[in-house]
Amino acid sequence: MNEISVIISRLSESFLLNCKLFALTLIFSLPLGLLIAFGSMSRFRPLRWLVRTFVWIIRGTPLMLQLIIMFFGPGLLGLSFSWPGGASGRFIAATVAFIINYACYFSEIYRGGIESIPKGQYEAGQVLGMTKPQIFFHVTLLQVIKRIIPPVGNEVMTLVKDTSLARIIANKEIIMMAGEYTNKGLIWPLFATGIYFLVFIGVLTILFNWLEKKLSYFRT
Amino acid sequence: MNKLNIKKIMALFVSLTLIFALAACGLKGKGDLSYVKNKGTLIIGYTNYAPMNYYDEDGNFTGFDTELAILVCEKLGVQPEFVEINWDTKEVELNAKSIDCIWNGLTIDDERKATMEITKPYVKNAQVVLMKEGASYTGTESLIGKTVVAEQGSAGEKTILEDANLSQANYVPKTLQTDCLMELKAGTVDAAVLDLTLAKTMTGEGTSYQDIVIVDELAEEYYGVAFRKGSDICEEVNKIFDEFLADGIMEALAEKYGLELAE
Repeated sequence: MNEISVIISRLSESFLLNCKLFALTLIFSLPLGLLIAFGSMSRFRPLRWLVRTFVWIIRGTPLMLQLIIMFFGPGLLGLSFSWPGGASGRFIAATVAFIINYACYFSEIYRGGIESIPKGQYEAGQVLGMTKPQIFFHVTLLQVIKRIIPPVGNEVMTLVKDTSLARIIANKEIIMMAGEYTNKGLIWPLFATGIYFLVFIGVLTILFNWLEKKLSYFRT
Repeated sequence: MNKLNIKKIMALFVSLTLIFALAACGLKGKGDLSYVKNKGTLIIGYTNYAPMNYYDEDGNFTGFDTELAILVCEKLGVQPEFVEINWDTKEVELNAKSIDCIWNGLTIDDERKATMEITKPYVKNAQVVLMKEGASYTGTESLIGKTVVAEQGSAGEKTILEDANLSQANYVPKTLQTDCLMELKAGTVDAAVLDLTLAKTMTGEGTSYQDIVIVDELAEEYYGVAFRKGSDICEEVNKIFDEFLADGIMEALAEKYGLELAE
């Protein structure tokens, strides 16, 4: 009985790493994604070409591989840069890889949202003498946010489960922790990890449903 | 506009090639001992696995390899720093210098000797066949045509592929040794070939695998500590091992953790 509570508390502790990775990735990748979206829609061709190639590379390779390259790359190439020692360096490397990866996916969602706004609205704004940023922030943005909530929600839920990929560079997240018990011949902790993800996703589902309702402005 | 793009692509390729060429030159293990002594720490890569490196019931980090590594570092005059790694990427960790050695019951074989600098054998191990209790087994010939599982790239896999009978079984590779027992318990395979030390700790009282038994002992093998290719620390550790063997320190440790020393 006592052992079960020890295992549960250690699993919960390691799930904090998944949560931290999740939160940090969202905080940084959501704005970075918008920046990339602007880049990929830029009228300056070299920039657009560069950004779209970057997005292609990031979306075109497995996140697991990106994690490995991010963490081992500097050391293998003999660069002077190296990640901090111990567990913190591994976590930072994973966070950076996750932010870049998710920003690219978000950027495409943003681009789809922005390009779905009818051109007539821009023209109307211009006729009224509004500047480009004014049109974007006062006319386009709110409509875009409303339209992209469902696809962003989808991506956010994928992110929750993807955080467990961080174990490839030995971040002690919940599945790696459960693996420690599997090594000792105890299987149930591995399956118990599913409950943590289910609960987390359940909360997010409720949150996004609420958000969608809250944002159903322009409708009576 | 097109010309500009082509130039950029060219520049990118040239710089990438240069970086890789430089990297290839930088990957030599010479002067490793002074590198480690300058830092003052030896970073030891391990995976959590009893009886080599694990946490006991009170949460203390212990194990045969843990204790031995601490003693060796004392002799070397450096601080040991244990870092948990992913076993699949251990060679990459070593080359990327995120660790200085792999000290975790590493089985010595020719392929590993070619890519890493490995100490002389210090502990003996064997590959064993595991099956469900009550399964009929008279020898490896009982498994012809049956499904057998082992860890991909492990010594167990090698044993299966080289055994005249086992090579006629359906071999299923897994990424983790520990997954093999789960397959066995779930009944998706007939037998598993694993490390003796691992099999001993993972089966029996207090585990989920009480109904799985060792039915046969196959190839004998030996454990060593792996350093970067060409590393001069390896020779130093070999000397310390000799001292510990003469002192009886090694034997006492092996007895404590139920292991057999290499002759």
